[in-house]
Amino acid sequence: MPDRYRRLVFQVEAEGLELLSASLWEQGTLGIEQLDGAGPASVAAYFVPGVALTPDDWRDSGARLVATEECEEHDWMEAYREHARPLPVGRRLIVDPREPHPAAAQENADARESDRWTLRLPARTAFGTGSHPSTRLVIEILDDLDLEGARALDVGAGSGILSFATLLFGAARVVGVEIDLEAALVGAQNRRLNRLAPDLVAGGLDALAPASHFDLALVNVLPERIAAELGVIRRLLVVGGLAIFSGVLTESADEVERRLTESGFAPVRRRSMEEWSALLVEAAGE
Amino acid sequence: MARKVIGSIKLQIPAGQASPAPPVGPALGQAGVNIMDFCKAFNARTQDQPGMIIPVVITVYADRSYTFITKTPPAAVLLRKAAKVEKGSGEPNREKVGTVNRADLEEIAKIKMPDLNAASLDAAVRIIEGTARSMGIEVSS
Repeated sequence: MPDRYRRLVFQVEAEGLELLSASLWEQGTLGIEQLDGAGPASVAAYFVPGVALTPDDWRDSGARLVATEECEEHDWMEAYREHARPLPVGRRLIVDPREPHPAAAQENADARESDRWTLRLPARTAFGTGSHPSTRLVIEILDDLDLEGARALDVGAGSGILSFATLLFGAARVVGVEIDLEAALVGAQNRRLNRLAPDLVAGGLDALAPASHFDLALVNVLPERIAAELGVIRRLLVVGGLAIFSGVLTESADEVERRLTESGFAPVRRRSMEEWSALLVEAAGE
Repeated sequence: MARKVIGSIKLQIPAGQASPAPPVGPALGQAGVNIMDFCKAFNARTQDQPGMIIPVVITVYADRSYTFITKTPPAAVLLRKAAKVEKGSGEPNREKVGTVNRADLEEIAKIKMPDLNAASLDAAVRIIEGTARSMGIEVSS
């Protein structure tokens, strides 16, 4: 991700809007926002810095360039954190997405507040905080499993939420892998903030020792992004080990389950929330 | 009880590629929306249309929750792509005339069908053909 952007703002009559969009995409815009307002539409398009556009690039749309601004990458989640409130997730957790109060560092995550553990996961732009149904579904399924002493693998660990939850729920060891470096760094910060110690690895599944064996795998990643690694995940599990695949749109759950079956998993059960589903499956024998 | 709407955000982003960078970050961040939740939902719903530009309308409610609907890619974007209009040739766009054929129009009409309110594929093709001509793109037989 670049850390600076050039933002061009245009005014255009309704009939020229599509043509302007087409021109901007041809010139390599990163994305377009149509701004509210009376009269002609205002359109903001973002580019990498230094892009050189000329009026010829949008002439046929009748658009008029009204502003060119340089803007910097910013902590876009700031406003969200100000309004966010701690959120119960599953039966045993509360996730607090707010900016941590300095005093929070003195507290320990396993100091239970009421009958729930509090996880402090300040919302950042690199990943979710547990508010998304795909994450909540995994935690709800974990609520019903006996994790005492389990060895767990968290694929696409992000903020670390599932790794932390699994440790709190009794797992003996949790390894989280995360290919996004920024997310991996924040995962490490959250580890310190919550005083929980899963092994968080910045890298893919190939960073694990081939002889690693797990009783449980948590895979909260869009199915298309993990499709090529289903066999690897199966081989990392012991026979009879469990895996939870989440981030699955309910409309494609049958298809994902079919692919899982082909990759050596047997369906156990499904859980759904809003338009999302999570699949609990068991690692079948060879 | 109906939730109170506090804003509507209109973006165009590539299918399956929403990220917290602009335009998503600033637009949703200002509204206090959870950016990553939106990105995940948008990418899941559009990952089967790689390479397409997806207009999306996000409705934001007073409690910072949101809903969104995706639309079909703009016809002009699809037509210019099919006509292979050269980028940045230095000539005014009005003189960059490209050509599409009947099969291109049908393919674009199929993509646009959900938004076109057309009675049949033929009617949709005629609409797209009209758009092409108005853009100076020729239709070869």
